[in-house]
Amino acid sequence: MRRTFVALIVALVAARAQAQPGVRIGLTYAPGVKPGVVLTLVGGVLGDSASVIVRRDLDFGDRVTVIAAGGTLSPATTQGKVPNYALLAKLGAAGLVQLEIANGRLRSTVHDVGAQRVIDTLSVATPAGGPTRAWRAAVHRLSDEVERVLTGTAGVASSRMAYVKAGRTWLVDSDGAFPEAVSDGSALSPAWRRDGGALAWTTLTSAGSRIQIKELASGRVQSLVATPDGLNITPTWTNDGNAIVYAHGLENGTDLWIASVTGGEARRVTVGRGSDNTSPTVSPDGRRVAFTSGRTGHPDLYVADLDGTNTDALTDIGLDEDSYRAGPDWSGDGRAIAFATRISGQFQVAVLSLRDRAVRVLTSDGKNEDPSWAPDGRHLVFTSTRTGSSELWVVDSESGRVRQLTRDRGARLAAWGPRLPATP
Amino acid sequence: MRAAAFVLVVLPMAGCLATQTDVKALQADIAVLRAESHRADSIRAVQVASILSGLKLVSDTLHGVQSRLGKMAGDTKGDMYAMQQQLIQIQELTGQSQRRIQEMRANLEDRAPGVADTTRSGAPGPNQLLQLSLDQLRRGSAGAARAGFTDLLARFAESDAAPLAQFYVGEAFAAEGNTASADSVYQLVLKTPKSPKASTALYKHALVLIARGDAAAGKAALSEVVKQYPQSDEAVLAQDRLKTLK
Repeated sequence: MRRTFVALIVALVAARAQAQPGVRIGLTYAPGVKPGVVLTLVGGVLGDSASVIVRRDLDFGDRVTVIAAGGTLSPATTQGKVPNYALLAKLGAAGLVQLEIANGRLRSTVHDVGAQRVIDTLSVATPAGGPTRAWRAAVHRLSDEVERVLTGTAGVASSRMAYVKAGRTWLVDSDGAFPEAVSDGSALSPAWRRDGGALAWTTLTSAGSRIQIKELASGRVQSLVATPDGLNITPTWTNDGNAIVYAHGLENGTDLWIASVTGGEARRVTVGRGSDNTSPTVSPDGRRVAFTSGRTGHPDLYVADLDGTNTDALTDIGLDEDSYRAGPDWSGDGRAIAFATRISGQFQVAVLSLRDRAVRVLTSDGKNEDPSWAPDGRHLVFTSTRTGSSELWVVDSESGRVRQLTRDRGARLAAWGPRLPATP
Repeated sequence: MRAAAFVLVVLPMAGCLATQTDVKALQADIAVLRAESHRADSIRAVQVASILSGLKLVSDTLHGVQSRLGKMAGDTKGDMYAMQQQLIQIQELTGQSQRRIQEMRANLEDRAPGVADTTRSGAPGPNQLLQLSLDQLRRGSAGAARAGFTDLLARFAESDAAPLAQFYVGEAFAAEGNTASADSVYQLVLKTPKSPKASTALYKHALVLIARGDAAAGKAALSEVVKQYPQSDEAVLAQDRLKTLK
């Protein structure tokens, strides 16, 4: 028995040693390198649209390099025939993705060029009626799955962002398409429930500010009435979706409170003793909450247990007048917290690693704030004035590559939602 | 009859037959009376005006005093608030300094391991072990963190880091979802009332009791938090909980 175990260990070590030259997930490629992928075009109007969307989704994912093959390679890579792997390899492609629309479904066949074999076939139902929002959502879901097969991590193309413009809350696809208003009156600081089925936001009333919840499928809106008076702002959901953590302020400072969405009394989370404590973000394990606190005179980042204990500063407290850190957002993998920090009088987006407490600043052009993580824990949406007006931008926290999401003056306070669930 | 009629007519007229001098004297008397009455009215008016003026002065003075008192009260309140804020800031900065000192101690032990650890040359000292284990806990490796805290307690039971390690063993259990074990450790921490985490441990013990459905014991534990650690954040949280707990 012991010999068998030892032999098994030796075999595993040998296999591991053989795999050393590269990382093997879906494709074989060197660590730190974006593998090249050729995407074949499918015919027809919808085919063109589908391939353009998938190409752009893979490009925005920042994990693969989409090689522009054009029509020249199509005969060699037509669906159903054996692809010209040697030619694809010469072009630097590690993968090939063939798309086909048939019988109301969009299919993709993913090839490993190095291994000269198909590694997966994927398919999604595409609603009839052309490139509507639902049709595009189906294509985005396929893109996310293709990215998962190619790199081991699903893309975030099928997610949407909520944001504020002209006092109302809007939704927009991850590629900036189909913006739509989802609130009637004033609505600030939108926050997604983890399943993507509801939003919470702050609304202004004559009696003060309140937290409202909107179920997106039914359109039903309800108010959180646990603390009807005073200031009720910056809501965020607990991971189970049963409660909202928010900042509640009366005359003597602002503290974080937690209240069930089904009613009942609110419970205090922070003890600010007259200071302002706002912008909560709950950790992925649901046990802790990071927030902005002015308890040392300047807004800074703190973390506490969700029961209010173990409050601790996340960063070294800034003592100079310029010091200002605010608006934390905990990444989905729990490893980092994004926030806005003031540098030379200008706000910039930064990321704090919870492993070693190291801070990386991701932006430098214009005023950049209100970061919100994508579900992949890699991309961030944020508000920037780099074009002269307030717009939403997306940054890849690993490469620093940025892209403009909205071209809609005044967009701000974005919250990146979860991937949309697949339709049957 | 005619004589009687004469008497009836003349007699009443006899009273009206005053001389011109009498009339003038009467007029003079009336004028004097009027003048005196007017003078008395003027004097009274002056007196009333004087009183009113005095009252206004007193009122103004009172108003001034009230304003000054209000301002003083406001200033005092503002000063008190500012002082309270400064105290909180000092507390926070002190906390930050303590964390820094803890990190520095860990670094010091890292650079000169033999100084801190007299039992095993090259092995991490108590502060370094505490820091490493806390880092593990923050990363979500609760099992590894718990092993580190337990090792610290076994090897450096008398060190300053030991009470903290004791508490964080409980936190590691809690992170693993093992509430019963976590609560056992919180109760162990309470046997060292001077532990810097005693108030937190007692509060968390109260929450465990409430979650179990033992509201009476939970209330009693919350009341103990308020009584034993009145200045702590946990006392404020406990007071809030006591208000809403049925």
